[in-house]
Amino acid sequence: MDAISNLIDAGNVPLLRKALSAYAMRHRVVAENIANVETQGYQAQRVQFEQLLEERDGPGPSGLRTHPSHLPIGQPDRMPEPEVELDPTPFDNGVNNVDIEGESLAEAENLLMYNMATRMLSAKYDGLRRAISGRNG
Amino acid sequence: MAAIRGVGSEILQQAYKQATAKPEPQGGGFSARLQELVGEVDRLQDHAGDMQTRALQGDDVAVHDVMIASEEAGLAFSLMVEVRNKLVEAYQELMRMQA
Amino acid sequence: MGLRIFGNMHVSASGLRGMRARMNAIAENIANVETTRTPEGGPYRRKQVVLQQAEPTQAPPMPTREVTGFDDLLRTHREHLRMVELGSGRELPQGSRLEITEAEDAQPFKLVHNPAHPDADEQGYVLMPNIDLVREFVDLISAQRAYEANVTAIEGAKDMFMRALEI
Repeated sequence: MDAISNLIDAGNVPLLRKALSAYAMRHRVVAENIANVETQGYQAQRVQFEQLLEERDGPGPSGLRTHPSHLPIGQPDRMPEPEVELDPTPFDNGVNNVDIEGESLAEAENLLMYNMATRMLSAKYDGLRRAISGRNG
Repeated sequence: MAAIRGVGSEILQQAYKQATAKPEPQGGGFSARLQELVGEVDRLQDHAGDMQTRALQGDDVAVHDVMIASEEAGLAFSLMVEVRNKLVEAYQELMRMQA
Repeated sequence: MGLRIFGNMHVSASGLRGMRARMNAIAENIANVETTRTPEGGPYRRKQVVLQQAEPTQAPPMPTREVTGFDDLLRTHREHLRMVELGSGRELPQGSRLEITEAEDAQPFKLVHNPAHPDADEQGYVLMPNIDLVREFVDLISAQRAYEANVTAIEGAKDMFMRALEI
């Protein structure tokens, strides 16, 4: 029974979903920066997420359990919202403050993180599916 | 059970735990929870359908949110089927014991 | 433009357009670096492309016709989207609305001493186009890099979309 409980401990799913939203937002913002690398008056933007996660990270799960039979839900009240903000970097490419090499790197990293998060999520769902349908016998 | 969209996984966990718990002799509390589960499955299915429609319209939805909604609705439905099977088993067991 | 679900790609496509406009202007400048006679008279004047963010315009309001069902709702919604795309107010995501303006560089022509030139004046000076070839090549490389980066961004968006389908 313990093995099954561990399998369906989907406490990370809310976090994974937030992360996916953050990565999608980040791709949009990076694409805008790249598209506007030579646009006059443009200011680079960025997405804050990982830093917000670090800031709110507590010593352990803190799900609100209103009933003793509830399984612990990891940190629902600590889910940070990804934010778009202006990038204050003093970088100067001659027209504005977009560092296109930096943005290209950010885009590649973001893609990999998105891939990783989707795989993690799929694995969770696969586990749930096995736990549900594997119950017979 | 919290009727919140997007926390389908938490609902699945709770429902699963309750479904695998021993059925109460009266059955009143259990069937109430089962009703809630059915309602939740309905809501998740509606939400998934809504997301799919918006995606097909080309609305500004995130594709991963669409896939997640479909996945969680499907899992909730499977869970409901399993709960129903479990209930039938328990009923049959009860009938055997009374025979 | 296209479906809003692909808003990311539209942004990059907008960037592609901007970079292409710049590359076209640069190519023309390079080709005409020595042109002293234009149809308008006088030397070729350097072309430049200015990129700015356009002001977002308001989308037209939703049709006020009564909606009688889900199909009707879908239809009016699609009509709204179509109106918005075809109308003067293109409701594009913020940042993808790039204003591309072609202008002539007002910097003065170069006065070069070259008595052998057919267009030289009595003192042997000829007015040459106000083009610095080195700068044009530097700009061309930048625009090319930026163009490629936008292409990569579109491929990345496609990659993410396809990956999400496997959730």
